[in-house]
Amino acid sequence: MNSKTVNINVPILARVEGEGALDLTISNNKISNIKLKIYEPPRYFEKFLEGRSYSEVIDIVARICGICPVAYQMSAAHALESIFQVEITPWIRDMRRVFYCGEWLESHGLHVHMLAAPDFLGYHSAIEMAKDYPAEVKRGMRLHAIGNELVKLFGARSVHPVGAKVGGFFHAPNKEKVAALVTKIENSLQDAEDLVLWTASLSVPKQAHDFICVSTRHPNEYPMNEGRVVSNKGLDIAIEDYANYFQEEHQPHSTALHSRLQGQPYMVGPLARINLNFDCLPQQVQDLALRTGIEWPSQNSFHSMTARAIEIYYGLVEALRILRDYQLPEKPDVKITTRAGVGFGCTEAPRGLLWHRYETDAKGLVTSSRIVPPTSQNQARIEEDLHLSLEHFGLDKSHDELRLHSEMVVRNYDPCISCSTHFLDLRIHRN
Amino acid sequence: MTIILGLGSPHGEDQIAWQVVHDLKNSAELQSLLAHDLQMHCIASPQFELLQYFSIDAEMIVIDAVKSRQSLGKIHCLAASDIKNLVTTNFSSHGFGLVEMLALAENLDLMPKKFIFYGIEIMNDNPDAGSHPKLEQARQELCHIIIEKLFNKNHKTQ
Repeated sequence: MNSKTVNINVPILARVEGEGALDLTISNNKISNIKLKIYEPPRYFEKFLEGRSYSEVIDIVARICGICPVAYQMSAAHALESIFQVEITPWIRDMRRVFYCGEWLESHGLHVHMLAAPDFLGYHSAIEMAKDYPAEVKRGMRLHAIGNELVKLFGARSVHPVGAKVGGFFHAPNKEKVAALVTKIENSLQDAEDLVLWTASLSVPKQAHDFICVSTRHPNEYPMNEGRVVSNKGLDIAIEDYANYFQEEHQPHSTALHSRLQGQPYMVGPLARINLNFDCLPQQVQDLALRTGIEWPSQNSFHSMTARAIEIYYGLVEALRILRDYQLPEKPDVKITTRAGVGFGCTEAPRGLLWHRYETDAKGLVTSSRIVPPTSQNQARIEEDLHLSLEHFGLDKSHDELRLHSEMVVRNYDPCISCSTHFLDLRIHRN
Repeated sequence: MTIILGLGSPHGEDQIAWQVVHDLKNSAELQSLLAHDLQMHCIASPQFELLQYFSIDAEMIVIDAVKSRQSLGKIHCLAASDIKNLVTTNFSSHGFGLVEMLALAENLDLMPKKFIFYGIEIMNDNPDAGSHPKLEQARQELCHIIIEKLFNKNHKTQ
């Protein structure tokens, strides 16, 4: 029996958004310690939202993330609208889906080509990979660009868009602009289809864990802005009941909170979404997903890259469905009458379920807020995955092999570490 | 075709490159070039959309604010080869800047036939910072440099 102790320390995880590290100890051929260490400083967004007008929340929460600002804006908008009993128009509802499609495209496109693919092709970076796979990287750039255009269409810009508001949008794009984008989307479908099949053709480790998947689910559509919270273990709750089932806890080695579902780790994100909502995908998307050869639902987190590629294809199909019949609305927003109350919003960020809770006073000022990002929800599951995955991979592998495999497992979750450091319990003792 | 890109944001001293592009767009000397031979754009950050402007048939000028602890308003002029050597391989999109973009462009055979980077030294990161006289001076000076460059090039090709 191998009685040596192996310590693997990755001080800075490469190709993840933000800064995190990994500590792993193997003793007597067993994993005795795994810690995904998040050391980015907490950002206190929930605290400094207090006292702000509801009308400022959308622009403030967008700054939580440069890659997924739309997700934060949508979760916040829906939460605040639920307090004010706002009923958005069908046009707003549809255009918010287009807005979200754009974000999925640009975030997933970035992740697949810049962060994940190099792993499976044996490169240290996308820059190196580009030399041998220029067509693939350029394809990724094109899909990313379409995503940015969709976000800009309603947001005026792709980074921290400013076009969304509680009650709708500030502006409705004209029909000519939409028609031009529809043509570009149509011309991108082949790229997206090729991407799905390309990701599925890459050799990935084979593993199957019995993990919990969590996402929202809507009776009529693939989830984005609305739905109940469900799991593959029978959970089916209203978003208002989230906090009764999911608990966040502070771990000493992380400035990001860990989240558990009734004590258990769980996965959110594209793989969880597809696993729980495959039947809600349009038939052409289901057909493409089946052509990959992957059996859905999949319990292999290494299929996450293909899941993202499928959602890129879905994003284009959905945006096309909505924008092909685009008509200008009477108004791009609805009237808001503030009131005191508590509201919830739960939307599907590129990385998974993003839950917001707000309390406001009668003037619409925020008195308390709580934001649970997808990356903090995935942390416990990442550590669980690492444990199982590495044991399956073989703990007698070399240090470099174990390190790379560990990083690949973490990258499957596309963690957005900066988002996850949203809150830290702060206690001040004054003498 | 010459493409001029100003990188930055609408905040504080970081908007200096956008201001230079704005001045160039409004300059009387460049109006005749704008229609056919010259494009100018302001970009929010050196993200991947920068690559869509890269073309092997174009000459490219990129302007940005820089902080290298040199004197405020100093104008740096760098070729692509000066910048490329700074690339690292362990990046996320948070750390994907102009350096990495140039390396990617080269590997994708998208590097323009001529590339110049102008960096204007700023001091204050504060997004609410007002403009300093030295930055105003640098702004005018860089406009003058670029207009002369474009005019000399244009006259040579006629």
